[in-house]
Order: sequence, then structure tokens, then C-alpha cells
Amino acid sequence: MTFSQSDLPHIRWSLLTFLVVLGVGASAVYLSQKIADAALRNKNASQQQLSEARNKLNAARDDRDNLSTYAAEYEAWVKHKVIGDEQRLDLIEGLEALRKKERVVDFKYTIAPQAPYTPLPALNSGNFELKQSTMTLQLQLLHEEQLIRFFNSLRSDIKGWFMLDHCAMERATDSAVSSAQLKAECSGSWITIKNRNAK
Amino acid sequence: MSRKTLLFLSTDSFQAYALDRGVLTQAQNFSDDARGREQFSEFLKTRQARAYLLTDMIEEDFRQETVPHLTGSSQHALIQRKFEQYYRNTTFRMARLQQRQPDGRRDDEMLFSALTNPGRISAWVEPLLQNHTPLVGIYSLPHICTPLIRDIDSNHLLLLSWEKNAGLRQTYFLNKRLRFSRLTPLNPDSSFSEAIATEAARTQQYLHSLSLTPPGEMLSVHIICHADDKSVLQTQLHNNGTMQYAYLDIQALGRQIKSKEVYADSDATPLFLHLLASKPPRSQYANATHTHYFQLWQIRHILFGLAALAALVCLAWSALLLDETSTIEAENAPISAQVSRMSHETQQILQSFPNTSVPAADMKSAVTLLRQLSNYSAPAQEVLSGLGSALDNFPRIRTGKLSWKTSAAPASGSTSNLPAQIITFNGELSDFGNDYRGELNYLDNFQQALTLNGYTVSLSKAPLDFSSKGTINADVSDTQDKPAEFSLQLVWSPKQ
Repeated sequence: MTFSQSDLPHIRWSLLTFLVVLGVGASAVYLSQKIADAALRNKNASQQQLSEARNKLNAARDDRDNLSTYAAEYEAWVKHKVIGDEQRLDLIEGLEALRKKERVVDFKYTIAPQAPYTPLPALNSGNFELKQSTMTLQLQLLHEEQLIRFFNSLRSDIKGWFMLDHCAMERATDSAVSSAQLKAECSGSWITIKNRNAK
Repeated sequence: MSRKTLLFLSTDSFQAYALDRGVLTQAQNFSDDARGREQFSEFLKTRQARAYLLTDMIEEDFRQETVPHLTGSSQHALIQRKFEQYYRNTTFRMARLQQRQPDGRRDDEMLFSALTNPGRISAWVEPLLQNHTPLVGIYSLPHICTPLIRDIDSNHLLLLSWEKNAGLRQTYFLNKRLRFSRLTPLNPDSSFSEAIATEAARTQQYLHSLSLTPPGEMLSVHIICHADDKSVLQTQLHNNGTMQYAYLDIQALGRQIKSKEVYADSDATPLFLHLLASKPPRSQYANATHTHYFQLWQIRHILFGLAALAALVCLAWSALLLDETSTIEAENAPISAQVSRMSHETQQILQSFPNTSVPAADMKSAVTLLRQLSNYSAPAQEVLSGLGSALDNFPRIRTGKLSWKTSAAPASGSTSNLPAQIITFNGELSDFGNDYRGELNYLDNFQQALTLNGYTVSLSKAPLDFSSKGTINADVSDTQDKPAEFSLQLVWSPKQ
């Protein structure tokens, strides 16, 4: 069959109808597909929300169950000046009180400026930032037991948390000058944690 | 049944019928002059249905020929050559393959035929083209009547029919394949039965002359007639040794082809028109120019059909997608409700917490962190207690220098992931005499005691370097015991 331009009017309406139906039909399918996709996305989002809501609910239940324990322990740490800003005055007052108790023959200390602390191995500190103030100690002792007692006092009598890092103890060579039989050099850090949201 | 226009062209007349819902309307006659063609043109303007042109004319020629079996363009070229050879002066020609010979080269047996008075046909085809009427084809009566004889069991069959406006049509079928046909105008003075008796005998003689019916073979003559004429014919036509008459009831034939027509007499014109409308053969005389508007009509209907199909498919597809959407939404509703319930319950729990300045989550976070961190540094008493108790049991060992530090990593081989404490113990073994083996055993026992107390022990420096690389100085005459220095490294891992 030969088809010329003059034949076009004969099939004009059928061609137009076909194209219009095709266009409308394709649009309908496209829109339906869009609606179906949106519904599927909503469902996936709802499932995600369900998972999150379940986790939040479980966390809230856990918090409810553990709140009394956590709250008491938290308050204890706050009172002990571990949570919040470092209280250097408390530290030096505590160290001075310790000196007066004469747990050791004598001791000297140096506290360095406070700096961020990264535990090794690493820990997830969550919403809290960890800080440390490194303290070096030079102690004169009569015997080894004094060192143990000194650190026990440091832990219990002073408001703060001293984390001992290293210690070296040896015989005192100049015992003629002092009654000390041993000398020790130790270092560690006063640790504080602070909520990042706290002003 | 859709609307169709059926045109009947005989040697002397031209009629148009409208076929609506299986019923032929009254025929409209058009005279073979300018006025008749003008009236036909006006008729076509009022009716744009598909048109079938059925010819029943004397001027139709048939030629049987056996040709080599060809296909494609070679076959087309052969047929065109035959057309030019036989029917140069007409465009209304056709070639039908009747059968392929079963033996030999398996040549094709072809029937070439043509309407040899093209002017008569063109005169009526022209208005059809001018009015853009979709002409399905131009057919001849002998070619369309094959379905009527399909069930008749006869190898030599002569089909007789009477068309009021054409005459007596005799079509001969050999083995149910059309071989030849002739039309005889009826003499107004002779009766229908007399004409049949006379013409059938003549045709038989003609067939004998062509050796188409071999001697001894019976020619089966089937006459399409009305029931009223059948009884008359039966009294006048008698079977003999060469001819046997049978009668095909025109009304029964009409029912066979689902025609709703009521046949008043033996005029077979309406029967053939119905037959053409219901079962048009593929072979016909019109060329592509004649059927151009029918092809456009087909394209138009195909496009409408495709549009309907596309609409149906898109509708079904959309419906499926929307059904799927509603299923998803139905599944989503309980999930959303569950989320809402859980959020509400969570909110209620959070609101039930005491009003503190610090959120419960932060409290938990801080406490958890500090609990973990407290394991990072064990009290000195805990680290050194095992060493102290071991020293109590080994009085000959004196502490020289003791240091310990927190390692950055857990001890290797330890199950704990908390930092280990590395202890360096420099001591001396007093009263170290010449019993070297015994002294070393004493130190070894000390190490074992430390191991039992939970330390991983390694000897950094032995009291006596008895390796092959070392230098040993000893005064064997000196029997005074002296302290011997040594160094141990201990690793202490906190218990998790």
C-alpha cells in the first residue's frame, strides 16, 4: 500500500484518538505507579518509625527500671566532683588535709593544666566530654604500705577522682637527711566528665 | 454484523444493496449511463460502509495452467508474465493456486482468470474511488461459490444457479476445484426448467469436448432452486447414464450461511451476496488502487482497536497498581497505629520520670561511662597485693626498685579488654652462694608463686648470666655469700 499525505485526513481522528488514549493511559499508569511507590515508601517509613519507636520505648522502659539506681549513682558522682567542672580548690584543700594527716613522711605534687582525655582503649562517652588534669607526685615513705594507704586516702578523702597512671618506688639513698626509707614518683590524672549541653 | 454495501454487477444491470444486521435492503438499480452513475455517487455519499462488488458477467475468462513451483518475486514475475500473455487489456485479473502436483517436479496448478470487459467495471469503480468508499474487493460469482459445494461428494460437479438480472450460471468443479464457468442469459420465452435442461446438456457436451469429463464418468448437476421450482424441475429433468440431477434448496443454503433472508423464488443473487459478505475469498480482481480506501479504513479501525486495547491495558494496569496501593495502605494502617501507640506509651513513661535537671538518658550515659572508666585504673593495693604476699613467702628476696604503669592496651592473651598494669620489679637475692643451681631454683619458685597470684611473669635480668654469650667472673676461693640482683616484668590484668 502506498500512503501519501493526502491520506492523512482519513485516519486523522483514529490516529488522534489512539495517541490521546495512549497518552492518557500512560499518564494514568504513571500516576498509579507514583501513588503505589509513595504508598510503599510510606510503609517502609512506617516500619522504620516502628523500629525506632520500639527502640525508644524499650530504652524508656529500661530508663524507668534503672532510673533510681542511675540517679543515686549520678548524684554521688556529682557530689564527689567528678561530674561537672573541675574544682581545683577542693583538690588542693584535700591534698593539704592529707599532708596534715601525715600518711607519708612528705610529698610534693604538681598539677598540670586541664586537657581533654581520651581513654585507651577508647570508650563511647556519649553526650559527655572527658577531661584530665595530670598530677605528678614525689613521695617520701617509711615503708611500702604508706604508699598504698596514701592512694586509698587520695581516693576516699578528696572530692575528685584520681586515676593512677604509673608509679616508681625505690630505696631512699639520702636517709641520713630524712627518716624516709623509700621514695616514690607517681603520676596520674584527676578525671572529670561534663555534659556537652551543660552551660 | 456490521454494515456493508453489496454491489452486484451483471452484463446488463448494476444494483446496490445495503446489508444491515444480516438483512439485505431493497436493491437500488442504477442505469448504465451518466445519470445512473451520478445517482450511484449520491447513494455512496449517504453510505460510507465497506463495499463488496460482486460481478456476474459473461465476460469472464478462465485458464488452467501448470507452472513451475516458484515463490516470492519469481512467482510474482511469472504471474505478471502470464497476465500480460493472456489478459493484456484488463486490470481485473487474478491467479489462484489450486493445488501442487503430488508427483514429479511438484509443479503448481494455477487457475488464471480475468474480467475481460474492464470498461464495464471501471465505470462503477470510479464513483467508489471518487467518494472514498472503502472497497473490500471485486469478486466474481464463480470464485465465491466454492463454500457451497464443499460438502458435496462428487468429483465432476456442475453447479447451476439463476440470477434474475444476469442469467443462468453454470460452474464446473473438478475435484472440488473451480475449472470453468459460463453464464447464459435466459430466453424470456423459455421456462426455468427448460433452460436448465437445455443448457446443462450443452455444457456437458462442451466439457466432453475439453475432455474434462472422461467417458463413463457421471456429471453431477446441482441446481440451486426454490422448493416451488424443485418439483417442476424434478418432473422435467431425468437422470441418465451421464448426468445426475440434484437440488440444493435455496432457503436451506441461506440458513447454512446464517442468512436471515426469505427467498421468494430461485433467484440466487441474495444468496451469493450474503455468501460474499460472510465468507469473502482471499483472491479477487481489485488491485491496490481500487482497495486503497479500504486499506485506509483498515488502518483507521486498527488504530481504534489499538486505542481500545491501550485503554484496556492501561486501565487494567492502573487498577492493579491502585489495588496494590490500597493493599499497602491497608498494611500500613496498623503499623502507623502501633507507632502511635508506642510513641504515646514512651511519652507517658518519660513524663512519669521525676523532674530532674538532667535527662535520664544523660544520667545513664554518665554512670555507664564512669563505671567503665573505673575499670581502667585499679587501686595500687589490688595491683600489688599478689606481689606482696609472694614476697612474704620468699624472705631472701628484697625489693630494690618497684614501678608499675597502666598499659595502653589489654594484656596479650588476656580475655579482659581493660588496660593491663605493667610492673617492673628490680630485686636482689640475698646470701647468693656457690650453689648456683639451688639459687636459681629459689628464684624460679618465686616466679611460680607470682604466676599463681595472677601475674604473667618474665625474667628481664637473671642474677647470674649463664648464657654462652655472657662473661663469668668468679673467685672460687671467696666463700662469702653476696646478694645477686635480678629484674622481673609482671603483667597484671584486671578482672572484668
